[in-house]
Amino acid sequence: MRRGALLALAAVAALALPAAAWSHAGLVRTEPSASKTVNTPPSRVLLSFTEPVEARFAIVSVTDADGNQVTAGPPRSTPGAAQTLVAPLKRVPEGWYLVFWRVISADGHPVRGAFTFAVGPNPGPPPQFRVPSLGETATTTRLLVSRWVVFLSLLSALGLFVLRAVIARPVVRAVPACSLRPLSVAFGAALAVALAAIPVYVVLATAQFTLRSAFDLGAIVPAARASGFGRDFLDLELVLALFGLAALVALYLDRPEREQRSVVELLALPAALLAGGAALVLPALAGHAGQKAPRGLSLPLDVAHLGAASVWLGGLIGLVVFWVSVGAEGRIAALAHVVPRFSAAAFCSVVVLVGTGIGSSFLELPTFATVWQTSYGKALLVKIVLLFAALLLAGVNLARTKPRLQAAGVRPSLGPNAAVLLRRLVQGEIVFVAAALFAAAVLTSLAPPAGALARVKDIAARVGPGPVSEVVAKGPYRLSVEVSPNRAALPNTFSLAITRGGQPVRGAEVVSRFDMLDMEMGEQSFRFPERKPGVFVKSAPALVMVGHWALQFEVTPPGAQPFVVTLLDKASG
Amino acid sequence: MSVRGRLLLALVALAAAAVAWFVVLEAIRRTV
Repeated sequence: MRRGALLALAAVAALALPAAAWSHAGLVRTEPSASKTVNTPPSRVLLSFTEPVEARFAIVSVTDADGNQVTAGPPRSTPGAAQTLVAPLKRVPEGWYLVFWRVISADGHPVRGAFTFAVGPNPGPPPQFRVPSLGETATTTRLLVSRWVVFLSLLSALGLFVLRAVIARPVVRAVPACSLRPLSVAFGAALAVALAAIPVYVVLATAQFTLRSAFDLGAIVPAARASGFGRDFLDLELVLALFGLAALVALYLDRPEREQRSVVELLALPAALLAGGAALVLPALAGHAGQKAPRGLSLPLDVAHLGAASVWLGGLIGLVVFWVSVGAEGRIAALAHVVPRFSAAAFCSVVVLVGTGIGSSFLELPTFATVWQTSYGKALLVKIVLLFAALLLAGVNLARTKPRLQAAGVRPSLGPNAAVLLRRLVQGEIVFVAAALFAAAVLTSLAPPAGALARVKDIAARVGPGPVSEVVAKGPYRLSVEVSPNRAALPNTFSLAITRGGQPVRGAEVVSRFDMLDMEMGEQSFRFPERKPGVFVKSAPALVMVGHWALQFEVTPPGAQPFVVTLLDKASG
Repeated sequence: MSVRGRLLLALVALAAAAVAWFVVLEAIRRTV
């Protein structure tokens, strides 16, 4: 029965989802409008994002067809609207202009994009701009590793404290020979690693925001608190130090040999646990949960997820430390006391971990298919598989090792083998949980799937990068779609030839919608004029950014029912 | 250690927790 429950739990855990997902700033409005012609020379370029962006880290470059910079100064935030950037322009003549921008999202991830606009009334034909690289990622090796070390040490420290101060504490009365000191030392070591790793991570991340070397500390350190992400992580350093102080006091005052805690112990322990809880809020706040609506739900889910993970991971590490530090003579008796208490706590943690993971996934993923269609979803699958493996080992411990250790009091022959099995399984569990945490570090470095994916249904074909020539059938109609050159921020020619029974369909009404799928952006819509019988062509720089676009063609043949054909296009830079 | 000393230490722990939550609430106010 118990094993059945475990298997069911493990199956549910396969759906357990991320610790924290981090959003990215999306461009929602520009002035002048992307791809449009204005008749009076604009005095500025205005970019409006989905979330506040830090002007100090922002780059807005506006160049003419010859590549000459026409901005009159650095971009600034609009007073009272931190999500809006304004770059002043020199007086510009008629012609086409390329706007390239790079901002740092509130979660600390760089985002780049480009679009064109024209100053009329006669801007001439759109030129072939040289667009800077539009790809930039937060998944560099050193950022990933430092993020992983931060999370690993932070969660381990919190979990080790809970194991030492709450779960393992009574063992001293039951088995007087054993000591809790090694657990306290392990907690101190994990805390020290976390306190050292957080500033290193902030420096590395800020170096990337400012496009500087990580050793250029004179420039990086003053800028560290300029981003929301940097502020949250430096606050985490402070809160973690305060937790460390409260925890050390609580451990110093603790007298585990007494059955009842004294008044000072009852003051110090909750204080330390409260400070530890505070330390869990800041990573959630710095990540996607702090940006994703409804925050009232996403933040508590993420904090609970991190708390559960810390009790599980820190407890496992603590069990190994305890196993090694307790002498062979008292080991079985001590483990028989500690393991059942930890198992109960770990079981609750896993239930919370799975529940909050599923809850977060409902907030994060717009459709189930995004699990295997996007990089974010694939990283999530890896994390789930690793957690599943850890849970299988946990299941064996719960079903086999724990009862044998408990029975060792009556049948001592069971004890030694059970203790060895316990240590091996727990070490395996630690490896899988730590690997899952690395997958979480990758996951939180990737943009979550855009909500726009939920709007796209019935994809007829996946096309790009590069020029597109695709024939799709829809009922009795055949549509030949061409996109050239299928590059972002440039004028692209979209052509749709519609035939029925080999004959061109004349006089149809064709409207195309362009929907950016990698980030939230406004949808663009164009009516396609008929250039030749049954051939509808439009030239427009509609693919404003590099990435995945849904091209939806709404066709209304004369006297017939309208239909929609959707292509999933990848535009290159 | 005297009882008074132990009580003082416990109050230090409580003060640390209070400051920690003050920092967190300020960070939440800043974000939200």
